[in-house]
Parts: sequence; structure tokens; C-alpha cells
Amino acid sequence: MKKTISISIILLSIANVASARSVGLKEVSALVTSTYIFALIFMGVAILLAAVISNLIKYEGGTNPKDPGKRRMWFWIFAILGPVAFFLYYLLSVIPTIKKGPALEKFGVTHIIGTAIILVGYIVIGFVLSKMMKRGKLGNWFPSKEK
Amino acid sequence: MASTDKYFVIGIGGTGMRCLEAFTHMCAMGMFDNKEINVLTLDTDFTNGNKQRTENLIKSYNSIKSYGSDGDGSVNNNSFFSAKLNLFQFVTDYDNQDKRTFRKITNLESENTELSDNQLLADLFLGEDVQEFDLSHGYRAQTHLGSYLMYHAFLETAKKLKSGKDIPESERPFASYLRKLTDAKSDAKVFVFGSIFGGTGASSIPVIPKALNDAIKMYSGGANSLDKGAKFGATLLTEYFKFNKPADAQKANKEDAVIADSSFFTLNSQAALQFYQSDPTVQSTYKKMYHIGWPIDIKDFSKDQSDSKTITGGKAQKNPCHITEFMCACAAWDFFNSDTGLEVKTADYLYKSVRYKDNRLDFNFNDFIGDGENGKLFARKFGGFNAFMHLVLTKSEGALDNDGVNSLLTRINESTQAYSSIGTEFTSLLNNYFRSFGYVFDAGVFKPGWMYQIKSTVNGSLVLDDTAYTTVAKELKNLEPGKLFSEKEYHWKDTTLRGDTFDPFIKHLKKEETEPDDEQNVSTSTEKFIAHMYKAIHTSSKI
Repeated sequence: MKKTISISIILLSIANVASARSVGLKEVSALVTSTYIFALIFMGVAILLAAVISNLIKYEGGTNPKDPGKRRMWFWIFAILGPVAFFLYYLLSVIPTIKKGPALEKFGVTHIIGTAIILVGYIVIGFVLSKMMKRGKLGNWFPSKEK
Repeated sequence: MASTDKYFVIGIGGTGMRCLEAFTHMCAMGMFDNKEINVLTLDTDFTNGNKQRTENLIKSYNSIKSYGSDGDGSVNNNSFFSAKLNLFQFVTDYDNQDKRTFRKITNLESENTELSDNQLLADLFLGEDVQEFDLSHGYRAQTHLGSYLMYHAFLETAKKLKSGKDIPESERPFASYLRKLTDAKSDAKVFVFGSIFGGTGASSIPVIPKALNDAIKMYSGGANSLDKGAKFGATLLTEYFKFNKPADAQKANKEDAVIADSSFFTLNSQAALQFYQSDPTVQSTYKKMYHIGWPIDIKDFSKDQSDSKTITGGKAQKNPCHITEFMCACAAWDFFNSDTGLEVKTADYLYKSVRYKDNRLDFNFNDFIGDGENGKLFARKFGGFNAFMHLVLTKSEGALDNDGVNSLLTRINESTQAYSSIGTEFTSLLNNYFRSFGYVFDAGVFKPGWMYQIKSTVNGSLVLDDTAYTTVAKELKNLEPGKLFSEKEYHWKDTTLRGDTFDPFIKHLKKEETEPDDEQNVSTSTEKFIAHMYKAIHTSSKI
């Protein structure tokens, strides 16, 4: 029952964020939780998009194929784009809806932590995926240096 | 196929050398899995262009095989370059001034009188011009002289080898070849390549079994001989090319008074066939003889030559390759893979025909080594090696000034470190082999290798779709290695939505399941790399 209530509160706060309703002190705790969940969702979407685009890039022939570089480039584009989009979204769309004073103070640097979670989590998961799938196209994200 | 069989191939003269060239490419395709083959090149001229080209090709093949191994490489299975080739050479060395003409070899010049017995005997069989022409460019279609001299050269060399004195370095390999033949006993399967309409090949084919037998006897001091159970096979290759008729001015020179005239090749072929049919020695020594001929558009070897003189031999004799030579190599495949028909008392003549319609000869994969399973095997190996060639030369730009093999290796190295020890020395060797097999762009101009030369002699289709043989750079750029066959069911399994086969192939190449297995019998990293490519190509294909 308690679990259902918490999920409901989180969903409500996400809805609040989406509808840009004013967030009071009571709702900040839920907003913090939803921010971290949002961060995880952002991270997941960024990883998914980077993986899809990397797989869509075809292996090229020739002596100096550019496709491994392109995959790496898209990985790092999403590594930057994900956290930046999250940070800007919170800065421009969410934080202005939090009531100034104790509510805003309580929210503090949650969005910055969320941004850091996205960045670090994205790179860590990207690295793990790249090593796990070194025979596939994602292997180009972190190529083996051995020769 | 008995596993104890020992394989020997002898290429004689210019045509024999080009057959050997085709044979070597068949080995590279993986048509002779698990076989160690002793190859003897036999010619009258060290500098002959065809001989040098073939020997360089075999050396290049062996460099690829032996790279990274202690010895000369090993036999492999289900792979490209799977056969092991041991190269031996025998040259009659008529470049030597003392051996330049028949008169010099036989010491007729020292005869005091024109009525000496030796002189009279020579005059009975040979015209004066035949006795005096320069032998260093071969027997010039004088087969009656050639057979005698080739037999003589075998015995003289064997005698020298037996004595152990003053043996030139170039003659030592012949001793090894004789020893291998002796050791093989009744397991020896010897296949002889040569034409029956020219000079050196036509002269040597009838006498080779006897000459080898007598040379072994001579070399062993009578202790050994060629085992009676040794099996011989040969091609009966009739005329398929022509060249300029020699001008009178060229023939005015005593040394060039006798020059092979291609207008007589048909007559020569007819005479030779009659001889083979009636000669008891040939009939009893050869088990299988493969009739190979060319019914249309005889290739003119002089067409693109600027020299007005007829080329009699030497460095300049570097003729392009022809489909008939490939058919000869396929005859060797049939002979080596024959279990039956080898116990016959007289030679069996074999032939097969090819579709001919509207002045077109169309070859499909069932026309080379047989249909059914053999046809499929041919399609798999021929198609696979051509796909490998296009992956290297076309997709990875190895036909330009690049190392296409290294590009493919880099791709595999992204997924495994098994080949990290392979350097560019090896990859450029393999790349160059493909250039000689396929094609090369030299200053933007397309230069055909063996495969494209073969195709240029066929006015119809040749196993693959006609688009697979395009020589236009733009079309080559769009060529798909997985779609070389006209038959869609033989295209590679995986393609992208837009029909690209390179991307799915590289995906497949990087998978663990395409790594070589024990059955392929590979040990060095270079052998493993080639076997890996083979497996990736063949598991991509539906054949």
C-alpha cells in the first residue's frame, strides 16, 4: 500500500513538472526522487539512441574506414547531449516552478547531481556495453588498445 | 580417394606453365584440400616469360603458406591456400653455347665427313634447318626432335646427379623430385600439363613416363625404377591460340630458320591425336587422358603485341591466360580425386561438352569438375575465392595502392587479438596475390589479372553473373561480394534493406562462430586468419 502511494506521489510530481504547476515544500521530496528517476530515464534514452545510431552506421570498406570514428563520435555526442538537455530542462522548466524559499533550498543541487548521474552512468554503462559487445558495433565506443 | 596417394604435377612448355598457373589458383581457391603436391616446371628456357610468371606465382603462394611457420607451411582443410605446393624446376638449359643446337649437343660438328654414320642418321630424321635452329626458345613445334632431346636431357641430368660431380645448383631439385617419385611407389599420381600442338609440351608428354623411369634407374644405379603402379594422367590440349605467321626476313636467319607456325597447329593437333591413339607406349603408360579443345574464336596472342617478329620464346613470351588452361587444371582435379578407372591397361579418353548457342559458350559451375555435389563444391570454392578477392581488391581498395587485406585484418582485430601478431609484410603478400588473381588499377587504368584474362576468352557467361566481371571503376565500386552469382539462391544470406552485403559480412566476420576450428587443421596465426576468412565467407553463403 505504502509502495503504491509513493509511486503515485512520484507520478504526480512528474505530472507537476510536466504541467509546470507550482511545487511547494511538501512536494519537493517527491520531486527530488522523480528528478533522479528522470535522470535515469534520460540516461537510458541517451544510451539507447547512441546504440541505435551506432548500429545504423554501416561498416565501410576502403583502407581508412570512418565508421568506427563516427560511432565513437555519436557516443560522445549523446554523452554530452543527455546531461546538457537534462540540466537545461530542469534549469528552464522545472526550477522556476519551485516556490522560492525553503522548497527551493530543499531541492538544492538535485538537478546537478542528476546531471552528473547521467554523465557518469552513461559513460560507465557505455564502457561496460562496449566491452561486453566488443565483436559488435558498440565495441567501437571503447576500442581495445592492444595490438 | 585413397589417403596414401602422393601427388605430382608436371608443367611443360609455355602452355603447360599457364595450366600450372590455373592449377595454382585452384589450390588458392581451396580446391585441393589436404593435399601436398610436388610441382615440376619443365622447360627449355630459364628466362621464358610464362615460366617465370608461373614460378613467381607458386613462390608467392608458398610465401603466403609458409609465413610464420618453421618450414614450408602445412596442408590445411576447408580453407583457402589449403594445398601445400613443393616447387621443383628442370631446365634443359639450351642457353649454354655448347647446347644451343642439335648439332652441338650431338657433337655432329666434330664429324669429319658429311657421310659419317652419325651425320647420315641425323639427316635421315631431321632436316638441316632443324639440326641448326636455336633450341633456347624451345622445340618450335619440331616434336620428333623435341621428344628425343627431352629424353636425352632427363638421362644426361640423372647421370650427372648420380656422379655427384659438377652439378649446377639448378639441377639439384630434379634429384629431389626423382627421389619423391621413387618413394611414392604405387601411390604416385602424376599429372602432366602441356599442349599437343606446340613444341616443348607436345614433345615431352609421350616420353615423360619412360624418361622419368629411365632417369630414376640411372640416378639410382639400377637399384630403383618408377613403380609399375604409378598412375599417369595428362591433358590432350589441342590448339586454342594463334600468333603472327613468321616473316621470311625473320626466317632468313639460320638460328630462326625454324619457327612454329600457328597456321599448322590444327594439323599438328590432328597428327598428335593420331599418334597418341596408336602409340602403345603412350596407351600403356597413361591411365587417363583429358581431351580439351576450343571450338570458336581462337585467341590471337599477337594482337596487342607491337613487335612485328614472331615471338619464339624468352622473356617476351608472356601470353595471357585462357579458359582452356583452367579446364586442364580441372582435369588434374578429376584425376587426383579419381578412385576408379586407374587400373586400366590402356588409356581412357575423357571429355565433356559445354553449351554452345548463338555463337556463345556459357559455362556454369557444373561444367568444370562435374555436376551434383562436385558442381556445388566448385561453386562454393570458386565463388568464395572471388568474393574474397572483391572484399580485398574492390571493397577494401587493394587494387589501388592500398593494402586491402590489412583493412580486413583490422576489422577482425577489433573483435579478437588472435591475429595481432600478423604484420603488413604478410598482408601485402596476400594482397599482391589477389592482384595477380583479380585485377589492379595502375594510374587509373584497369589491368586484368588471371581471372579477368580467363573471362575475356569466354564470350558467354562464366560461372558468375556478367556484372561480377565488370572492369569499370564506378561499377566495381557498387559491386556486392555477396551477389556475384546470377542465381539469387546463391547470394549471401544477410543483406541490409538496401541490399548491401559488406556490412552484414563484417558483422559475421567478427562473430566468434566464424573463428577457425580444429577440422580446418590450421596452426599459425596467418593460416588461422585465412581459415577465418574462409569460414566467414562460406557461412555467409547459401551454397
